[in-house]
Amino acid sequence: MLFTSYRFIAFLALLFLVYYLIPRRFQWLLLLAADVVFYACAGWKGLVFLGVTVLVSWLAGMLMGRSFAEQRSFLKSPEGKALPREERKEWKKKRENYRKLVLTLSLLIDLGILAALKYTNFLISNVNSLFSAELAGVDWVLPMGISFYTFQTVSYLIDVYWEKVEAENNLLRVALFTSFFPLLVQGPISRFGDLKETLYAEHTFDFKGFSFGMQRILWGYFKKLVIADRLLPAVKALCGAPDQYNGAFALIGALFYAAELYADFTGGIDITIGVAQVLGIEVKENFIRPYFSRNIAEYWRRWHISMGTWFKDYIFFPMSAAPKLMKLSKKIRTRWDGFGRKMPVYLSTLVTWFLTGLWHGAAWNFVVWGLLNAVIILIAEEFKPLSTRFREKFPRLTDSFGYRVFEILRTFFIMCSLRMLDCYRNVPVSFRAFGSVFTAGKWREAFSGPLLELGLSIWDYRIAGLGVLLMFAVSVLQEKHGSVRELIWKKPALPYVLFPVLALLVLCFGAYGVGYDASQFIYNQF
Amino acid sequence: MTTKQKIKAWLPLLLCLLVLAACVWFLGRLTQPKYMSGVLEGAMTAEYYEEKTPHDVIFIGDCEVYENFSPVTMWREAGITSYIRGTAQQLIWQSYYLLEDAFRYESPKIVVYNVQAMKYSEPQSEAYNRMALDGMRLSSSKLGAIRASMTEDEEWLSYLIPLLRYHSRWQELTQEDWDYLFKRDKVTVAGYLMRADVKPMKRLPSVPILADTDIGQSCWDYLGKIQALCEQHGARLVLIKSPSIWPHWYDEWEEQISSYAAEHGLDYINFLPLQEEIGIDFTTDTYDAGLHLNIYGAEKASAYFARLLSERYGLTDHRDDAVLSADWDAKCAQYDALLAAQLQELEEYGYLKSWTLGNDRT
Amino acid sequence: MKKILALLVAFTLLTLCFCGTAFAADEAETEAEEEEETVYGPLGFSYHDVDFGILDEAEPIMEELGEADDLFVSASCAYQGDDYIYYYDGIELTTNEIDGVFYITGIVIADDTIKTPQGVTIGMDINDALKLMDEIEEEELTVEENRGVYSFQYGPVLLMIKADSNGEITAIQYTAVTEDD
Repeated sequence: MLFTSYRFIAFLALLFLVYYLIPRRFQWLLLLAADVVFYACAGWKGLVFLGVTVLVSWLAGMLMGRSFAEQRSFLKSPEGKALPREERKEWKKKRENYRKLVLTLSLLIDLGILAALKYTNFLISNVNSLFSAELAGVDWVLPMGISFYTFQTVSYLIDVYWEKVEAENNLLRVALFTSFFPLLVQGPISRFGDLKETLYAEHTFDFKGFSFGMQRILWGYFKKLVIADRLLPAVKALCGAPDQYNGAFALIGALFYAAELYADFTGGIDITIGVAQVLGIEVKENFIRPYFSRNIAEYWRRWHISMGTWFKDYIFFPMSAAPKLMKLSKKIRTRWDGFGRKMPVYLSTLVTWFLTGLWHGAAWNFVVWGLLNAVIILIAEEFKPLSTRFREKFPRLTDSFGYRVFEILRTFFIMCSLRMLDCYRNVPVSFRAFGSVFTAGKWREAFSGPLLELGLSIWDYRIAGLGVLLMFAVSVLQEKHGSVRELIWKKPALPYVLFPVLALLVLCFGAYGVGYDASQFIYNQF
Repeated sequence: MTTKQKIKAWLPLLLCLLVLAACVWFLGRLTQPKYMSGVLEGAMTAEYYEEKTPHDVIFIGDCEVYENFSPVTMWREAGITSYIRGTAQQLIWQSYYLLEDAFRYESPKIVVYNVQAMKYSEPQSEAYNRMALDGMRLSSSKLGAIRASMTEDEEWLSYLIPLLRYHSRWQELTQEDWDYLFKRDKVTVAGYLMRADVKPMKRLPSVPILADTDIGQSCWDYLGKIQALCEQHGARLVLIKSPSIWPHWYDEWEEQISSYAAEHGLDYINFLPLQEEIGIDFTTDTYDAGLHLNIYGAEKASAYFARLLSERYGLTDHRDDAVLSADWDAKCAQYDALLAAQLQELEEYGYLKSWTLGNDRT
Repeated sequence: MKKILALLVAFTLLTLCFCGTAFAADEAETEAEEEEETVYGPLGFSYHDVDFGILDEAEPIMEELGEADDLFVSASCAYQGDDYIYYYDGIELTTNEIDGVFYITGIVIADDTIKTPQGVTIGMDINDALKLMDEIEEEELTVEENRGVYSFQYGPVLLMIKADSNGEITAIQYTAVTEDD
């Protein structure tokens, strides 16, 4: 069910109504039923894989939870207290090994399903390329949201193992956490600890929450339909013919893609968080105005936050603090102190971003994209002392508004350049396109008509432009004053004017219906 | 919360939603195509509801009925009251639902169905669907027609809320959209779309090969439903093949229709072999080289058909009826004025400027 | 620090080189493939030394063919897409406008003076024709028969040969297969 389909809107309307009519203790069960319906609309086969993941995660979580409970109970008991120290240690290690085995097996299964379905053809094509083989590819359909729900369950299992959260013994509750439908399509990748209180709680209808949620949903549809889907044909045309549309066209394409991707992704997240809010469920923010970032590290603290923190918490930190890596670092430091000191962090960064790239897609352009992000982050890290000295020497300059704008634009253009790898989906082509911006010119040509042959009329560009300006204005307000909806709420009549105006803007200027492709959210494929 | 407090909390929202609904309705009306110039066919379905008097004969079908038969001529020839409920590429299930809709308003004695459209057994085109269905009044017939007609990328809701379909027309709005926001001019006379221009038939292409000449089962099902509907309302169903010589009418289709008609006790009249008898001359009586008749051909076909209907089915000559005569006199006047206007444009421009898109000039 | 940077740059370049090589090979192969393939494959047509086929752009082909003997416009109701049928000696070419450009969407052999590239002609025995069509070595070519109409399909191109009850070919046409077919 597409978020932008009438069916989904009808589904939501019915869900909202029934949710607040039924006894509150059944609300979470209704959500689970809604999840099954939502997922089944994408095909029953996907439900099987989701079901296996839920089952494995529930069982593994329960087994680990029981093991912890037994351990705590035994060690507190007289028998446990009476054990000699070495035997206590041995007893604990056995339990620890058991939990490790359970975790490893469950992760193998969950991640194995994801790896098999998503990366088999990638592996086959590389084997064929390397060894001139002719292995046939597979024709497996990727279940909807598999990358998101798998990572969600992996985080649950690891958090249980690390004793960050108590295991959930109720299979249906685990199923709800894994399959909560607003999060399935494009995240955010949520943690069990963050969701469990709000997801299973009983919710009373709250007019303010309902109003805020509906406004957020509407704002999401505005970004998705008026901006993102409107720009999509132009982006596809520019990225689809890189030899024709090089030079200035490549830069324009990168800028269009920046606007389109942001509007599409954040629009979808707005709908997700808005739906959850109407249901009384709090979901963490996944974007905090990333285009206002002053450096790449800040960018990744503001863009797709849940993905960044997931890789940080479950790959980067564990890896960089891994005893084996520490040992190796110590060894290296005997010879090269500086290098040895930084090696764990730098290697972990490269691996993390390698995997981040791979998570985005089973193709080399995504891997290169990930690695380039890592390289830029590390270069920035290396130049930090220099940057600090510069700030100390020229505080007036570096604290000025102009310098801030410079940093924001610098970060924006760096990210646009990296994103070319996603736009063109081909490494050499992306590099050629990037290079052509500086060498191929075509500046006059770009603005003398060809842009009107990409499937957009002049009015389409105007509407998209005005939409982007509105998005920018709202972002500036948010940056300065926090929640715009709280500001609006302070004026009683204002929501009743803005809501219908926004709704009419979406209905009139949205790129939906016959003649427009009902394009999936860009991250749906994940 | 007291009831008064609840009302105070919810009333602004309800008012807001009402205002929104009104805006959606208004904008839907504004952006919906008016079909008052160029492509006129989209205005035809709605015109039916402006009829003031009942009809003894209802034609249902595609352009082979609304271009080839003239109700005014049938009135003038034999005092027969008729109406053509036809639109461009009107598919059989659309004909069925439009007939069902018509039966809500009147009880014709004869229903004439042109079988040409039975070569289509599946939904064809969103554009044609819109032209046929947008003008229908909301009813179970309209909902049925929408469900049966929708192509894969269509949504039924957009038929009920036009803004959902036509919102993108905001870039194409013209003065016509504002002028005809709440009114329409008539483009037909009792459902007949007049063309007074002439484009002689010179040479027809070779007959295309059809891989499958079987008429689809869904068409037979709907033909059965049309017959049942007619029987239910005491009307007689007459099948015809209109006198259009292109697209080609295959012998295999002719066999199947004749067979069906014989089996189900239906009269079937194929006008193609009757051209000579009717006096149709495809050098003067067609406006597009044989696909459709112009007014001269339509009048000949209509006069012939009127006589046939009178003789065979005993239809009443209503020319003595004061109420009907008044209505049909007005129609005749409209018809004559329309013809005069078209002839004048032909003289002035060499083609029908106001009734076409202009790209079918010879 | 510099060594770290150097190592990183080297690693990144290595990865990029690998990807570059892999993709360059792909690109060369794709370009070569694109040169050979046409939409109509083995179901192309030839008329007076002009080779063309279904879904070719009409204008350049018709420029080579020269002026048509006549034109028949099969107008659709309410201007929803006309067929332009051009008469040449022995064939009829149908063209349609798609996104502002005219393409060839139909070729009809009108009499026995014209043959298909395989040598099939009107009046020929259908079994002889089928033998000639059998000589086409193309895996993706599908063949079907339905009441004397033989359909050969390659991608979006359909060649239909009709034979009467005596096995004599009475009609030959090439058309573009639409999604509705």
